[in-house]
Amino acid sequence: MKKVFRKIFLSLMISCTVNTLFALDFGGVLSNVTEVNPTKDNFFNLEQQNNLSVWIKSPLGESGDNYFIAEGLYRFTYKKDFYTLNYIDLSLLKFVLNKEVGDNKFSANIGRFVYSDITSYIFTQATDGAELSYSGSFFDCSFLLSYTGLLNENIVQMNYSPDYREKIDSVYSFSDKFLVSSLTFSLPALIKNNSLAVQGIGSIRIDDLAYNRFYFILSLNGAISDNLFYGLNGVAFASSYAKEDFKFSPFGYAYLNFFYEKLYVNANVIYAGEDFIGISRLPALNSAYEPEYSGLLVPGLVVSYKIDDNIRLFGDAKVAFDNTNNFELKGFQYKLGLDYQVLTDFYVGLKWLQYFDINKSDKDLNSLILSASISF
Amino acid sequence: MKKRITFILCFLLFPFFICAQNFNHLNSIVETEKITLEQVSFLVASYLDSEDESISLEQSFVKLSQMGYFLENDKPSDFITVKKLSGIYAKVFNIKGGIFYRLFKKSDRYAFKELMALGYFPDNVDPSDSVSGVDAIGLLNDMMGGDE
Repeated sequence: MKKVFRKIFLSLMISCTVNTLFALDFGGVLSNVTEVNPTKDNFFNLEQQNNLSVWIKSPLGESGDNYFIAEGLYRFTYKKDFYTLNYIDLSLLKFVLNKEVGDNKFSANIGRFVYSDITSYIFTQATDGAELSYSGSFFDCSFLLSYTGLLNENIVQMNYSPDYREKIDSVYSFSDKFLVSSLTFSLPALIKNNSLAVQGIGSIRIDDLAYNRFYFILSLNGAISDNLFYGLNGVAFASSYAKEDFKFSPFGYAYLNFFYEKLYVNANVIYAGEDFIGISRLPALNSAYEPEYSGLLVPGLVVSYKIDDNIRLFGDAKVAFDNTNNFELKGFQYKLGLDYQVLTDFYVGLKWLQYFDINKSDKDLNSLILSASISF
Repeated sequence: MKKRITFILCFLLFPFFICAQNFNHLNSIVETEKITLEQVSFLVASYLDSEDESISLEQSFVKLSQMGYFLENDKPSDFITVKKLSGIYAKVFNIKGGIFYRLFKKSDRYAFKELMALGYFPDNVDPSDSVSGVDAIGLLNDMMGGDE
């Protein structure tokens, strides 16, 4: 078995090296995010983040469908009066293989790649492993087997085991060790333009104290009319930590997307049971404490309008209710922003964000964010 | 199918290839799997000066070389790559480009990225790939506004 793996690995490396001589493509992005969070005590509360990412890509064989891509990242983070941090990461290192046989398409991602579950709220992040997919005329299916212990925990944000301690000062610190696997089965054209998908995700911690999470997802989405699309997602969640009993909790996510010429409107609602927690860390609110989707009911509205090909205005609003406390109002946030693609390789954006917490004003957040990026 | 594509492309570019000799050149380009610098020169020269009805492949290459489209060591029989074709077409259509395209004297690499960003190529295109005659004419047609 080892010999087979060695042969496959060697062939891929040789193929990649030979191709590299002829067809190596490379590029990068330099970006800046400057955030000012005015508070009562400190008006000029500055946070700065700079990223430099560089990628290389090489085709594997004649067709552009099979290729190798790697991307490295350097991140500088500064928070006035608090910290100055430097991180490095390997954001991508993957072999992408595609093969079409008649109406059947087979594909594989092998290495470090970005994965997203069908709701995008459970496991959406970079991971190391393999994803195999099949797409046919009647059904699609895919299988993922991955490991998170080699990721840089300061770049890839996850919900770790309760006993896990993060090491934010290290340039590269290995993340909590989870073996994450998923199996997805979908019927893309169940009835006209409606598709049904079923996904099971399991995350098992490989350490002294067990922390295991399991998700069963049922998703239905499709088109109501030419401009209106819907999605309904229901999740059954179970988790166990150390020798505690399993806890069960539901999660639901529904949305309506409306497109009309240059206008895009999205209305959505998320319900997360008291004990629900995703694998990836995805803050539900931009409050100073950034709570996860756990014990919350969050209806939201997103509106975006393209003034022309280069300029986009957008705004969104969210209201959060605490479903562990009779759906008491928890907070409200809104965001207004502008994206401007100045040139094809130069982008600037401006965003104003406010969060008001109903009970505790120290969780309020005012934030002005200026971002810019240049690609080369 | 191939004949139909040839007919459509010839029809689209008819104003530039009005004489019989040019039409024959165009026909051979359409059937070429890997287009050469000379053949691209012919397409570009015909586009730039459609009144010159008798221009040959050789004359086109010389003309474009003199206009600074090619490097000194470029040969007429060299197969063109997607990247090189991007560089030529970006100059022909006077694409303004981004910061790096301007900074690196309109290099082929940034011309390719520019056309990629403008949506002229699919995501999986390899800049070092050779180009077929149909694709070279198709791209020329798209950049002329034929896709609108």
